[in-house]
Amino acid sequence: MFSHGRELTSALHEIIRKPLSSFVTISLIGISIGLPSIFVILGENFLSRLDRIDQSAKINIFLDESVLVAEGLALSKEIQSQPEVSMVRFISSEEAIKEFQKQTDLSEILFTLGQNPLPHVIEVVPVSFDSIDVAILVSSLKDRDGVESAATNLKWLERLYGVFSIIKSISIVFVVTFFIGLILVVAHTIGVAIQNKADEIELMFLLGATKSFIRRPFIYLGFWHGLGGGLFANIITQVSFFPLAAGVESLAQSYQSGFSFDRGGSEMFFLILLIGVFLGTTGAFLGLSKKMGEINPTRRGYSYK
Amino acid sequence: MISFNSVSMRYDDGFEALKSVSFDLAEGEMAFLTGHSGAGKSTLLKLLTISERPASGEVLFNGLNLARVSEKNIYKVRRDIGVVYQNHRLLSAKNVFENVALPLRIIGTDYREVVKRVRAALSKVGLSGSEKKFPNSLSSGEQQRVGIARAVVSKPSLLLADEPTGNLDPDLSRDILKLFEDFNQVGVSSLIATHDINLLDKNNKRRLTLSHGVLIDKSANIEGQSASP
Repeated sequence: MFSHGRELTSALHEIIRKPLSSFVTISLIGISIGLPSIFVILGENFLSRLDRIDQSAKINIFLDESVLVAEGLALSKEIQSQPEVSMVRFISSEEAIKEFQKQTDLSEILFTLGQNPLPHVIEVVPVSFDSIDVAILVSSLKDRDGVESAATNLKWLERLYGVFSIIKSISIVFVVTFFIGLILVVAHTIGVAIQNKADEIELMFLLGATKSFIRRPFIYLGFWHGLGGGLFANIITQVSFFPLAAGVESLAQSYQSGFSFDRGGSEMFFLILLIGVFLGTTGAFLGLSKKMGEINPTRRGYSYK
Repeated sequence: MISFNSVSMRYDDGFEALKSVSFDLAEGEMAFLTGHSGAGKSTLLKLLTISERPASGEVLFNGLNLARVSEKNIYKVRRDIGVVYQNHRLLSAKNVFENVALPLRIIGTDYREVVKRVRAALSKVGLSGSEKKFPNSLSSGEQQRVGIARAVVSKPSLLLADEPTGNLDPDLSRDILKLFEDFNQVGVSSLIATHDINLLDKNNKRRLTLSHGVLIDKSANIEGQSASP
């Protein structure tokens, strides 16, 4: 345990001893993790907004003129009991006309009509916004007695989900590519460190060191690079959100929305650190497996007769 | 301690470095391995540290056939052998203490014990107080002493030396030889590869003479330690 502590400290000193090359590696790791992190946090904020939009999306069921208020209320209760339905609101024709009068300046025209032209309406918020689920629900609602027609305002939401799904797929490709590149960068850095210490490694092999003993400082080096890169990624992520978050929040306020930008919090902070450490050590293992065999003084592939 | 039985060694390029070499080195014995450059001295030592494998024959060390030691177990053999190199092989970025402590660090010795044993080894080679110096600030003779201290600090049962006086003047060579004799006195078996005639003429230990990979002389020493049959 004591020996591991010394190796860990020694690997940190190695980084401090070479500030320029260490900074380049750490900043590369930081940028490679930081950029996808920014996209992920923006995506999370977008998704949380989308959830609120979901709640305003609904199916409008227009009832026959012959349906009475009591019958409409009973139908509302029946629909509410369906498992596919999240929320139901019955709007009588009288309430509908009052709302219409409030929201428009067309009350005089309504007086000329003589009678209320608006039907009773049932607003239904579905549980699932999946286009197929919504279509099935609309179809079942249309078939009910007393229903004249049903319409949805969900088409745009489906399109939005579609666009977001494409962006999500592109982001995954983007993140995977970045991370593979990052592992290769760390592997190269560790490979160079191994090459620079080739004499020392060969000597340690000759003195009876095990492979794991020789690997250890390089894995710790990868660990520190990864941890440093994770910290750097957190810094660039948070710094880049300062102007962005302020802009988004002031825009939201102008729409009287209580939206506040979520910068990821401590969970995201530790997740980014963890990703950095994972990628740093994985890169170190890759670099070691590539270079160690070249230095081991024991000739390989030699068959004893 | 060591037994070579009809050992041949051929490099990948076809060069036959050793041809059916046979000899024994008894426990506590000190012997010189001599011969011209390219005679096979270094190759023979490399077979003992398992840096090379024989093409045929067997190399026994404490009864273990080194030719058959698996790669993952090589480190166990190497920990029991101290090696002194002609070019010292000291790590220039580490000080004398760190260089000598390296074999102890590798076997995971407790730090207090490391300090004790490194100081004792440095005292034995006459370098007490040089712990914090770096190899580049030492003379060639002092560097070789550090190399010897590193080879003996973990108390190996066998000490190998490959041209340990190759870069030293005759006086320093005698001092280094004296150190090997001192370690031999306390029971450390030693095999010293050298073509330094002055060094060989000034002692009475057994000589193993190689010529073009063939062991041509296994002469017994004056003290009467037995040579291999």
